[in-house]
Amino acid sequence: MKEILIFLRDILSQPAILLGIVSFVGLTALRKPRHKILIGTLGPILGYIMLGVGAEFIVMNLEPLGKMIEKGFNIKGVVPNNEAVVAAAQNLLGKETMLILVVGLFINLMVAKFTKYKYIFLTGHHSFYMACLLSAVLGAMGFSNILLIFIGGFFLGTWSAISPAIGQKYTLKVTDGEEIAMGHFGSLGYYISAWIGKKVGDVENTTENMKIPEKWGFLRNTTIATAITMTMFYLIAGIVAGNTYVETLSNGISPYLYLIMLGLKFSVGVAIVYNGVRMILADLIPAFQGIATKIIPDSIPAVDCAVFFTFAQTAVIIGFIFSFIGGIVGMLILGISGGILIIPGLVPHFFCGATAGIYGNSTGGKRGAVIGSFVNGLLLSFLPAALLPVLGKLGFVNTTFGDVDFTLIGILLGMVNSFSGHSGIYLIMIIITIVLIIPNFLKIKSKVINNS
Amino acid sequence: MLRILTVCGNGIGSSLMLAMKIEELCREEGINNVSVESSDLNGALSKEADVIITVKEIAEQFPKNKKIIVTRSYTNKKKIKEDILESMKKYYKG
Repeated sequence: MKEILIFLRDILSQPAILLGIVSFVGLTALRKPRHKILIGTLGPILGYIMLGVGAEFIVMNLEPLGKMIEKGFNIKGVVPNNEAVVAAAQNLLGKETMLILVVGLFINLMVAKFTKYKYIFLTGHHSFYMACLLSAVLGAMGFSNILLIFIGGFFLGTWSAISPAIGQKYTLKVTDGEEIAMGHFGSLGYYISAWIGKKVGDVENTTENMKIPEKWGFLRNTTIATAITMTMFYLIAGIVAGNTYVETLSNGISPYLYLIMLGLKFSVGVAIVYNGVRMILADLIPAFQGIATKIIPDSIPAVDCAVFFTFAQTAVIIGFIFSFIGGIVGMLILGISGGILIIPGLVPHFFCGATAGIYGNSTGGKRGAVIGSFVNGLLLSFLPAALLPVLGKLGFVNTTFGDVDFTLIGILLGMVNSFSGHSGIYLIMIIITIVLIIPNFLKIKSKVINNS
Repeated sequence: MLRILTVCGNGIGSSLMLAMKIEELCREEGINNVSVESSDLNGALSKEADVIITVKEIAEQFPKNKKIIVTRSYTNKKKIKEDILESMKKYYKG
């Protein structure tokens, strides 16, 4: 008897199995055919294990980079990369992250059902990363167990509905009135970019009148792009740290070859994590959307930022380039001030920078795209640096969250907590609830807030 | 059995949306024997599929010998239907 109880307890502390059970229950409830249930249950379990394998690999390869930067520049170096930090966190916070994710999806549905914030957040990997951030930040504040999971789920679910709502007016401009919303946790950066565009630019002078050579197309292949940039950063860090130092790490391999291999391996790690995430979500998200359209027919799907790339192709490249420049400038400012070296990651700058460019262009044309995405790039350097102290144990793995919403929400919760403790966190929850309910009593033009 | 692969930058967000829309479209059109899977670029190069469906910018990254249908949108069902239905029916043999 005792063995059985221990077995059950251990099952529930395995995030992979937990995820499989949730998926199984969902698919059974949807009366899917048996072979679909089998695939849909095993897929997430295998995906989660794959995520862990990729994580170990990334962390293993990041360690020498951190060491070399500390040796060469005498400061701590950090690569903001959501995949890496989430993967690294799974040993510490796997169970909490999974449960927050499930609670968050449920609360998103409830908010969409009962308020005018009828946005269903479908970018599952970002929900997953946000769940991880919340479990780290709230855990560092001393919340635990049921309370941690509920509060984390509350913030995830409410932000999933509020974030698309905030900028829906801009999004409608970008998409020319399509029935979709922005579902990406870099959203505040994009809205800021659109707001700046309105102030500085001229919407008639659009980026789409320019032609960008297609040779930048390889950037769409994230694995290749990550391999190239990370190899460059490893080489720079290694050269500054000096040959003799690199030789102490490289186990007898020629230092330059060692550095190149590290950069390439890092990108393989990210690719493995992505593959794991893909397996986790392949059946989860369609099921989630199926449920959403059944119970909330007038809901609007909030979708991944790359969906918006099709609306302004040139702004994508301009946004990426100027966001990356902003990231480098931010890195230099932080480096000179002796704080911490935030190494700009190509992936966050490509996706977030491109989207900031699109939003800036929609309100302020070329100039809007350039300045908006540059500011977004600065944010992608400064915010991760400010987030590190709030992450608790997770602040020591040479990587951190990149996108604007993750970092801002983490910093905000951290500030409130250090200022007024747990009661401050509860107060924020009350304020959010009020913000969600108020539009129910107002006359607005459409059923969905900001969607007109 | 028609095996379709949808492709976007990282194979998680947009391509999954597109895959869901294509499944919906196939149901409506009575095209029953299809499997739709989403993937990133590298994965798509090595996966077995009868046809790849993606947007123009990604399509340009593929070698010329791949069977590709280009769509203007990942999410707009009307546009997707206009862009892919005819070509898809060509590849589909019931």
